[in-house]
Amino acid sequence: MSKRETARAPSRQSFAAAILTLALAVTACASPNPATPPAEPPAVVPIPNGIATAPHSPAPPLTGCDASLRPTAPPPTPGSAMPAGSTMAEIQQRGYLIAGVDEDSYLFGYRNPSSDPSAAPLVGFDIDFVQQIAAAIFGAPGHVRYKVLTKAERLTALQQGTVDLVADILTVDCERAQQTDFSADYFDAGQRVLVNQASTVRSVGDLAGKKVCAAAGTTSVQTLADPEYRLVPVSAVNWADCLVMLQQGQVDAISTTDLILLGIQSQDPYTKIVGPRITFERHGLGIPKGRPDFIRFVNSVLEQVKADGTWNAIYSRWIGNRLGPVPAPPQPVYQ
Amino acid sequence: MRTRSGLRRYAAAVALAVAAFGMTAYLGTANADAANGHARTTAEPLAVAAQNVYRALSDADATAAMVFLSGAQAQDAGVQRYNQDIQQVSNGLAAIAAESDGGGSGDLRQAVDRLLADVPVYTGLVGTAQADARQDLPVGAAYLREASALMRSDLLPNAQAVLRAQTDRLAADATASRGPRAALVVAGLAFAVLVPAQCFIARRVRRRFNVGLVAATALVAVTTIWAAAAAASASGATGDARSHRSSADALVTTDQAVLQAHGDELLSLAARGEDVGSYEADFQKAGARLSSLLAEDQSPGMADARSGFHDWMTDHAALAQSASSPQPDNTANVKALAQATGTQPGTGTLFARIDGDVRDAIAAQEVAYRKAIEAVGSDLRGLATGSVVLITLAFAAAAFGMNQRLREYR
Repeated sequence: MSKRETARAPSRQSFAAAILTLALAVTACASPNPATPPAEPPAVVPIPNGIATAPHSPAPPLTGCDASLRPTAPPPTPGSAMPAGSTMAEIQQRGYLIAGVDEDSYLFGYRNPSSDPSAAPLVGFDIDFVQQIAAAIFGAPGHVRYKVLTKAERLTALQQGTVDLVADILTVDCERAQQTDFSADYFDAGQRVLVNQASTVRSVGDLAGKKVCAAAGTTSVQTLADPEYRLVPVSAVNWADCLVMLQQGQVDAISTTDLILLGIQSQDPYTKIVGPRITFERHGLGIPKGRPDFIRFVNSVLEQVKADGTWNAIYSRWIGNRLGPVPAPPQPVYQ
Repeated sequence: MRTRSGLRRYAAAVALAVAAFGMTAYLGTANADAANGHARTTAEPLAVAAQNVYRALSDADATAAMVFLSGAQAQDAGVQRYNQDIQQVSNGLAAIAAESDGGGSGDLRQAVDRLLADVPVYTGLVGTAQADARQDLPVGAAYLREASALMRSDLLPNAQAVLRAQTDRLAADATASRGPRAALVVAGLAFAVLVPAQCFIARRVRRRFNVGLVAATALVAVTTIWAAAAAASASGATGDARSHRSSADALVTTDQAVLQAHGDELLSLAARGEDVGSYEADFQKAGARLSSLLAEDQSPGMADARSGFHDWMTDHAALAQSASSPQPDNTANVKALAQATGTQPGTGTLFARIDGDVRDAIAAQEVAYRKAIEAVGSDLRGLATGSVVLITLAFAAAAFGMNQRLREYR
């Protein structure tokens, strides 16, 4: 996974080549009558910039890399002096927490549509957790600076230490664990399928031979490449491009974790999420390696947030009961 | 050679040479005049139409992104500008398609057909993007990106092909309207017959001057001088026209780079960080291209464009810098948006200033071009009829002169 994560985004040329191939395929399929005079060019449905069919690579096995460090004590009183020499003290001295976040994941981290300059630049489920961590250090809201990262930049930013943490729907897995540390699980999700309301697809099993879209550089697109499903994976630059292709009838389904699917589904009520979860994915906040004190601190904050009902409030605010009743906060797994 | 048969031969040769000169002078002038007329009434308006299509498409790309980003502050001006662009594209394409029905190259026809098929697809995508933007749905940005990709990979290259085909036709017209050059060669031939004919008569019949032939020679000489002067003047004016045309073409390229750079700026804002840097990289490329285009162009008004361009790049770099640093609040986004959409002085207003400068310069070159091509027309006008009258008189005079002598040998 790390290979795909750190890989640079495909070049424009390869995008263009893929678009061309797809465009040819689309036009070839779309002309039912071969006797049509060639003088009139058929109206081609354009393909969003940067679409490529996914390479076939097997899904990684899930082993026990998802155990985080156990918090040693409850977090210090927010706003009080943090332990000398700790990462938290460093952040406190700097005056703000630097969080790597996404700007384009609807409901998780997306640009605040407000035109008020003093408003938070971003809002969403992930952003609320970032604010909880910052508030636990500073004792007051607002001490956060957001650094917008693309999917591919998430792990590089952690490795280079340009951010204190990454809150961007990061699935915990072994390959990533070699490059970065993770906090305890702050939400669970599983891969499901989004189709049009009228579709007869009921689960991933019905998708054999069909085109299914996922964003490049995610675990979802690799799951789709599993030969077991016998579907045609199509990888897009981001989730919104997948929705465009679904709305234009260029793919039959979108498949990723249900919480992201919900973000897509809430943009188009003519779609539905179907089927059981085909994966189980723990999500953690990414933290640069070599900062065990900060991991323990974050985990203690997460414990507190889960215990005092804040977790439920955040989940209800963004997801609510649209995926069924609000679940209990995930149980942390510690080493 | 006996005098009688010599006279007969000279009479035939003179008649032939004068008639040939008359024909070539008339046909050459008439052809050049027709080419000039075609350039003025058909080729030039079509080239301007193709130029407008190309420009309006580039403008639509940037304006669609501008309207998209304006969101709740959506300005009627932006919506109107986009609608005007699309209208201009439709009108231009309709004019070009109607004309190329009667002929035109296959490439032109194909590019026009492609545009006719794809413009509605483009406007459909932009419409969906705007509808999504009104509900703050991130998928709107994906539609906008798709629309822009269609614009840049398909619509603009085809519009460019149409523009090239039309300017080529205009250039061909210009070459053809340089005047009756072949007539000047035939004029030499006419003199080569008229002068020996008079020498022959002077030798054989002991009269120094044959009034008819002298008059014919004078008339041919006058016509030749007129044709030569018209050809020289038309050629000069054609050269002027051509240089104004190529200046206008260069400015259209510059304007396209201006629009593309601004479009990149807006699209990278609309892409909300998921653009993987390609619009910013594209902006840098368009900026570099623009920098060299502006440096080369000495048209009036370009000095202002150059200084505006410098400020634009500075402001853009400042915005890009604050966008890539960690942000505590919405200030940087709101500022970048306000500047790019032109509600606050900055990148957007500087773009508008440069765009205005370049468009004014294009308009000035167009006016100068039309003036030059009119000048070619007025140089040629009259020569066609004039040459017919003069040469008919010359023919009659020559016939009269030769007949006088021939009669003596009957």
